[in-house]
Amino acid sequence: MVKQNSNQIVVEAVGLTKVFKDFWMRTKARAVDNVDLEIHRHEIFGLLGPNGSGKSTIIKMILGLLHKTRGRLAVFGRPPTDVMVKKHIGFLPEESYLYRFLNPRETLDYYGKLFGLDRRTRRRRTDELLEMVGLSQVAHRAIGEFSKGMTRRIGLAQALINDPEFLILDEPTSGLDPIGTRQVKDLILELGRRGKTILLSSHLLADVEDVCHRMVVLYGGKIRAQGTVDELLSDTERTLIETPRLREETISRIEQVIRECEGKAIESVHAPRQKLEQLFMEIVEKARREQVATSGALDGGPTAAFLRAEEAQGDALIDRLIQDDPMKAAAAKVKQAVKPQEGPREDVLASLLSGEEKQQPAAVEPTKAPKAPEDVDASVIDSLLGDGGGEKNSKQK
Amino acid sequence: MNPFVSAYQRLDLMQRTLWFRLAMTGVALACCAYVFGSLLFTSYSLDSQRRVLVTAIESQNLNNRDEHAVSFADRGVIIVGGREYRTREFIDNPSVVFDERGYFAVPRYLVEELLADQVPLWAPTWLLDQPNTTWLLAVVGTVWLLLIVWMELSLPFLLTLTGTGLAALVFRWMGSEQGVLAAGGIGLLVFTYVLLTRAALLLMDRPNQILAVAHTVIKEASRSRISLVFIVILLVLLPLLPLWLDPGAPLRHRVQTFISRSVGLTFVIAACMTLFLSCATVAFEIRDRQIWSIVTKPMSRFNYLVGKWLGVVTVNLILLLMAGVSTFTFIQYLRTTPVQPGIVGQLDRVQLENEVLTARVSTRPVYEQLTVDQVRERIEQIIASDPEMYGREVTLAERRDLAEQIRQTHAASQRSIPPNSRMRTYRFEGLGEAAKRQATLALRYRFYIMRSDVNETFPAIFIFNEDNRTIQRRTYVPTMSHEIILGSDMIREDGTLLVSIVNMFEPPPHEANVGALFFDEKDFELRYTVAGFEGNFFRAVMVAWIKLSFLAMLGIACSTFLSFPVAALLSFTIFIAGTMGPFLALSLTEYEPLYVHEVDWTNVVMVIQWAFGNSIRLIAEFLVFSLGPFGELKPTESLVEGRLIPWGRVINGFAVIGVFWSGVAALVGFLVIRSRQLAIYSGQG
Repeated sequence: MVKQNSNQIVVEAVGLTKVFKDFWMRTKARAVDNVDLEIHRHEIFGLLGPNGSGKSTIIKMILGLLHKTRGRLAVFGRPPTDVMVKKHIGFLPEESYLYRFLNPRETLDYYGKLFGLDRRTRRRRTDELLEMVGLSQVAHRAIGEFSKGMTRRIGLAQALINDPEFLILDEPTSGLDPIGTRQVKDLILELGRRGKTILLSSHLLADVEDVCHRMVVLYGGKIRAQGTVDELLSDTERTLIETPRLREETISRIEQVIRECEGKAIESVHAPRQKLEQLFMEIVEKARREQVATSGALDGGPTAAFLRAEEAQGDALIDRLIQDDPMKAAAAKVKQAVKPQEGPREDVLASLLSGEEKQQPAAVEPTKAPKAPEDVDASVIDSLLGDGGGEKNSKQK
Repeated sequence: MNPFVSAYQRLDLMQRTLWFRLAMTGVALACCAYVFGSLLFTSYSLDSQRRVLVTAIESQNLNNRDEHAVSFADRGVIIVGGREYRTREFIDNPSVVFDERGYFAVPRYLVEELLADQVPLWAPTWLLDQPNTTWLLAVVGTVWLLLIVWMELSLPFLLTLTGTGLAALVFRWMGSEQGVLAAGGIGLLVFTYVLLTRAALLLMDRPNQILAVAHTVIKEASRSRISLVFIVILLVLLPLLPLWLDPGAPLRHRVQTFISRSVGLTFVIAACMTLFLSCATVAFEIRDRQIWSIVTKPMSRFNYLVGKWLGVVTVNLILLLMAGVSTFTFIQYLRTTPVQPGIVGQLDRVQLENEVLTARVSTRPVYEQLTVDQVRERIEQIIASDPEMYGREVTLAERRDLAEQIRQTHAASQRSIPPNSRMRTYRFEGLGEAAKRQATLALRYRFYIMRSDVNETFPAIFIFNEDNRTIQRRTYVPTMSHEIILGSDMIREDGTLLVSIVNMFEPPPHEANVGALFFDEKDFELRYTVAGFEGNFFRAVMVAWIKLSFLAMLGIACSTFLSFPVAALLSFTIFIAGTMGPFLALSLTEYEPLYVHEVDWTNVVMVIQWAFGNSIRLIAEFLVFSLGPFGELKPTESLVEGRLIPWGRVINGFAVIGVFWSGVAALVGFLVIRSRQLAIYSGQG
């Protein structure tokens, strides 16, 4: 793993330990035990582990909701309790703890105010986020009347209201239906491609596998494994070839070639089963085409425009946070220059800054976002990403 | 879509358009200008004529054959400024309006009768009589209507109006006029609450963290059952209070009862709402973990607490504003509606104005104090005459007790007058200000004579400044308060007034040793007016708000470290202890646990009794010391008794309760919530 420059590190934990004690100060549980981890800018980082492995405890320490017992923990180079750090963080707890007496619009407006957003910005972002999570139609219903999945959607929207630089998602797909789960995962990928740093905690292996660049696997409060998805999951001992359906004769001939060249036999040949998720999506799509009514959340709309927009504001603010070290600040500026961008603006910036880039070879290339999974239903992604997003997605394919 | 819903939505859209709001503004202004303008014009016209008439007739004497007195006695007519005033009330017997000296007995009442034919039938007399109240209502009414229009509440207003009108019609059909008034009052208050809440929300709709939190608390107050139940009780009970006034009671008692119930009820309900809401808004947020989504935003925990406090305090302000204006308006109405007809009713009104709807200060007579040497001498005398003490070493605590006992006995002896025409004279000082203001003095007394039968009366004589021409013979009912009204001319040049009381009771021979008249220190005082009721009422509302603001911070601070039920219990205990502070202080003077020297240390029961008694005393002393000022500020009691609530006390209350106590509570809450691990209860991850 390439050692990252310190200004590239969003979260740094060294020897992080959390011990829960009872009233008599006797150790009740060692939730996190001597954990070392780094989360780098622009990466999607996964915390994987079974229930009680310490994932949420780590997140809560990062957010200042719990105090560490031992070790060092810095977020954007500052203590987690620093109020200014939270300006750049979006947080979705494992359950959406929202005011039951407010409606979605009021909820988002409230959180927008806590970030000091002016009325116009709040209104625009609220509209876009409600559209994105598919709750525009129920924007005036009290959240107390919502299903769990609908409150999760509002929870996700509130986590994004400030267009966060660093998004912390604790079990983001919990309580969501397969459509919502797919949308959230696609949203995470989209935000990752836009350069956001995302910390994803989950015990659902598929969630982490589908979206994360790097991950740690926790058990009993300790890190049991860590690395990129490829490092942890690739099986170099086996080869899988996928083709359209073949005749028996062709398969025999292929096996013959393998025997001749490798001296090995084909272990199994079978027609792949359709995934349940795919079947479900097809059924829902069909129902929608038939315009079957639903009182719940609608299909999510495109990613909120303000999340898709190229806003350098976030980076500039982070630079201010690390300005106590001029070297870090300079490096951060260089990093900005190499940040992957899209559309004409990317070209313009690249041409403007190309000379500078050459003079700063030390700048670290950010972790590349993984390609969208091949089996993703293109129509759903298109609908999520809108025109711009769809274009981008098709380019990647 | 349902046609009603569809129509409502169309109307709702229409009321939000600029042209509609501009048009309705014009209508509202025109209506207010017409109604209140007419009222004010008539009111000022009557007021100027009233002044002229009172000036013209108050010094007129029939015995001296003064012009207006003679004219009225002969023809029932008075001509002032070329205008002829007459009344049918005394047409048959105009001489009844004159007192025994030939002066008009109650000039103000006569003037009202002379002006009666100028009062338009449509105009409420209580508004015509009080132009200042009309101005207040004009401003409040106009602002109220404009707020409805510009906050897009015209449609809900019309619906409320319709609903209230239907309820009023039902009561009218049932023949209950008071029910009609109550229904109208409830509708008005409910809508006003909605309006003021909407206005507060609009004012706080800023991208500011403290205001954002406060904004949400205001919504929570209106949408959560825990606070809404108290708000609804207040909105319903306030308009019903007039129904429970005794229609046969004198006006001043009716007004006193109404003030006591309305201001008292408003404060108690607002205090309960405040404590429950402030405890719930933080404790539930911690319990239900909404606070996770708040403290992970760039907001300090101090701002969070301040926002919560501001929200609760704003809800209090809305409730007090609404209850205050409605109570004040009803008092203004009540003060002009005499219970009894004729002069008796008018005299009752005058008494109301002098005793209740005023702001008086009180002063007590100067009592002689014993010097230290005198006390010491008496202590030695007691020790010498007490066989239990004589010959042994008397402890310091015992001597302190004896000294206190001697002082109290000496003070009580000065407040006791033996029977059989024995007299004692009391000296009031510092009345220069009253003399300067030419204030009417009220000597209030409540005597005891070892009997409490309300049907029994006892005679006493009052003599002022030792001048026998001022003798007033009175009978009093023991345990009941009485008043004697005196002119400021009674005050001597040095600002003093001497009051001599003669106990005229003559006990039967077999009860020769009873019949002494006596009174408590607080039950013999001189009161005089230094300000108006209106200002006093405003200050009373402010004091109530200051006390509520402390309760709000107290509840918030408690709930930072306690669960809702425990926080509510603790804050209610502090509230009750604070309210009972003065009573507790009084009780402490009578509560005497065992002294150390009295304890038999071999007797376990006695030791426990000693420890328990002293612990109770320590706790009570701490409560009295720390919470005394809260209970001493009694705005309702002051209003009922027509006592001045000086600005000094309001400012002092603000500094002590509003700033210092609330500040201490806020500090405690902040220190707790700053260091508290808010996610400690998570069992996941």
